[in-house]
Amino acid sequence: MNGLDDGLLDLASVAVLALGVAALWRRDVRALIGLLRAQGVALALVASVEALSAHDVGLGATAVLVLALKAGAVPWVLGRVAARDPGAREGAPLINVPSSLVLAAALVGLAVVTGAPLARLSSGHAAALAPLGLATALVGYLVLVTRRRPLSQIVGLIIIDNGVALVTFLLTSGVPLIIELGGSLDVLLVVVVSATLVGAMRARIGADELDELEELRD
Amino acid sequence: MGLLLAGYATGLAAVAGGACAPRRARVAVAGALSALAAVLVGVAGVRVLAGGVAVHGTFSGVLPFTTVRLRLDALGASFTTTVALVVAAASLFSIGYSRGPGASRTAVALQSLFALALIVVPVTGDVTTFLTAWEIMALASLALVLIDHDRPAARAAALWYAVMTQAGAAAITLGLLVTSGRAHSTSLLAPASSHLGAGALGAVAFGLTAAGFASKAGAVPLHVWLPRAHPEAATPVSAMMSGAMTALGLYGLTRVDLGMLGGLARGWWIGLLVVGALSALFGALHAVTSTDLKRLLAYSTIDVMGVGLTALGAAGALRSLDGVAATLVVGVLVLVAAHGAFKALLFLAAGLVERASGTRDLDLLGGLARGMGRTTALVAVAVASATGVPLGAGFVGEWLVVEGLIGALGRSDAGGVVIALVALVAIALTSGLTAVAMVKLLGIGFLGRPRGEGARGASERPGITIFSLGLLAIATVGLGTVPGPFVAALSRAAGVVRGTPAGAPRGTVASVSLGAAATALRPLALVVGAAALTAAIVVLARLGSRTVRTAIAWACGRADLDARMQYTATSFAEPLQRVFADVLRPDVDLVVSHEEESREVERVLAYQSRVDDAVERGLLRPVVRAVDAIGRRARWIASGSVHRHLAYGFAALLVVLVVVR
Repeated sequence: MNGLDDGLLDLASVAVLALGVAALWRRDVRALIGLLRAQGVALALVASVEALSAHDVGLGATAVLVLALKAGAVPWVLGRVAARDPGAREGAPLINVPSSLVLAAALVGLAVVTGAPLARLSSGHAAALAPLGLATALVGYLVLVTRRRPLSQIVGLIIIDNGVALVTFLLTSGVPLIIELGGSLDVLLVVVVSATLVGAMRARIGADELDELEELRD
Repeated sequence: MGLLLAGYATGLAAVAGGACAPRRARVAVAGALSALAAVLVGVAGVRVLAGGVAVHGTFSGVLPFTTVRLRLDALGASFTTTVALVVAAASLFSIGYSRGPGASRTAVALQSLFALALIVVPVTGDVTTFLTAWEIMALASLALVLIDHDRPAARAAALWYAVMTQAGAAAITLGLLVTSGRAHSTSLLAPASSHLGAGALGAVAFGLTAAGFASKAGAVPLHVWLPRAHPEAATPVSAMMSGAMTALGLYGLTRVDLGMLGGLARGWWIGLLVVGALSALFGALHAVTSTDLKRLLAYSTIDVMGVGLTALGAAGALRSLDGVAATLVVGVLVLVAAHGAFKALLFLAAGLVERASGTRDLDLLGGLARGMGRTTALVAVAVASATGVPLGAGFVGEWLVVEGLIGALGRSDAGGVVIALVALVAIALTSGLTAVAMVKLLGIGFLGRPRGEGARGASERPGITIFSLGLLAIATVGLGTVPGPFVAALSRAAGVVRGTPAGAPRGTVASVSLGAAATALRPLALVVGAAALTAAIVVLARLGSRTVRTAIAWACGRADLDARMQYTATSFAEPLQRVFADVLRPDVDLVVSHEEESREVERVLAYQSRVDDAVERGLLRPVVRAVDAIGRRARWIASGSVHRHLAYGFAALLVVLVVVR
């Protein structure tokens, strides 16, 4: 692996995290989907840099797959749901934007501290970046917890998945293609199911803010 | 091994048959295949008992992540034959009996699965296989209790059973994990010089496994599920639960606690003995006062299992005495076999009675001997065995247990003598009470005159149901009259306690004799003697007066006897209920209304007596209420807000990250 590769890897990994944090900042649902698409591209870039430097065809195929699913299919499905309700915005998140950005900074710190053993698992430059993946997953979880709209929550869920994928790419130079295929298709399935559910909720109760659902029922 | 595998394949075919066969053939196909499976496995057990060579096999790829280890040795074989007998009889019975909800696809398939799990459990060779089979057994039986889920009683029974059986399974799992962690092996066989019971960890392993196994055997105070679940399950299922599944609780205690946890402090075994003695007395007392036929049988199961627990506790506490522990263990094995046969017979007969008369209430039964002659005769055989009179199968087991305890009296230290005496007294009192309960069952339920319309019209049809009852009766009589060969085979299993079967009872066709004491039991001689005596009485009677004098029986001054002049189940038990009122705490309602004209003349007397489970009311209900209250208080934690639930997960993740860093 040469210096250019290392630089690209740094850039792409940080981009994944930065785009995740940006999801905390933007409220427009369609902007969120755009961020998700960009994050998918960055993730695919990580995989392809790894593939090129390791001359691994399987990893290259994984990179293509990630690009197709996470920068293509998933944002497309979400975009279709969002298009039914144009101009949808996250009203007031449970935690306001500045506070959640501060929290995100704390989470990144926590990830770097607690992710140190992860970085030591392997000696390469890539492994040293693994805490970034952990940080992305934590930030995604924060999006999931603090957003009221189901669509924003799905975005949070996918950011978590992207974080986990980043860790696996950086640590193990990618999992076998078949596992990545299974995982990604699962995410797509979750997105499709959730999208259907959002549509059903909207039809049934006319609102899709999860705070309206306060009681558990049979 | 071939026989075993053929048996299990047949058992699986029975499950598939129950799930897939068309409606009409379903019950017959599944029942016949289950019975065949049990027979095959039972024959494998008999061969091991006769030949004494253990068979074992290891199979990988059957269960994920682990290999399946089967092992059939003498101890396992003694339980396997008992369980197989019960399963075979109950499965055959269900062919002629199951209909309605009991013949649904789910019920038939689950019953076959339950039967299969029962014949697998005592044949498992390692912890994972054992736990898998155990859990399948527990879950299948739980689902079978719930088959009739429209009735609130069935749901309540299933809830109690679910809590008890799953808590028990969890305890057993933990205990076995501790044990196999210390032994560095998942085998269910003890290493040669086993000290797995020593120290605090040994005590923990014993406490957990003994509690789990004892709850399966219905030990007080973990017995509450048993008198609820057994009557609620379909008749063949309750026969298997009572005759076979509870016995497997004793199997676990013998195999794991007695066999593996050597070096355990004596106090723990004394604790088991006390629990067993209390269970035996409690079960017997409730059997005496119960008026529901199946409930009575369920309490009598607690009683017999309590005697077994007492004997196992004594065997553990007195294991240093040569011969005593071996005799006690063999006694328990015989008792379990006898109980399996007679209790399954009684449960199956209770099912026939309920179907024929429409009730299980002894106060409404009676006079069944006339319409259901065969059933009554077979029940009489089982009752004789259950009361522990000589020539009954139960007698042999109790005799061995009592002889073992008496043998300990002369040769033990003061502590051992006290242990043996306590056990003897408890068993003696229990036997007396059991006899009352069983006499009540036969006398009130089957003899005399019918007390209700249902009992009056009850009739039976000979068929496969009666045949399977007969099968169990033959086993009972055989075990009672020729116990020698069986005892001889079982004495090899007694080696589980001390490593060698030294001092175990010996058996021949004609007799059972003890190693230490110079006592022997010769049931065949008793049979010959009894036959000779009967013949002599008959001959003498013939030789004596030939004139027959007819007279009206004395009937309290009335010419016609009617059903209301008989004892009822309640009145029969009343004296004992009065004696033990402090323990039983019955609710008695006596309503007296008088004539208008005179306060001296009573018009209507209504007497109602109900005996609730004092342990349940005093000990378990408060626990349930406390848990319920905590649950209500804690409701705000789970308010239903999606964000709150997500935040819990997030917080937990962060805590884990920080803690495991």
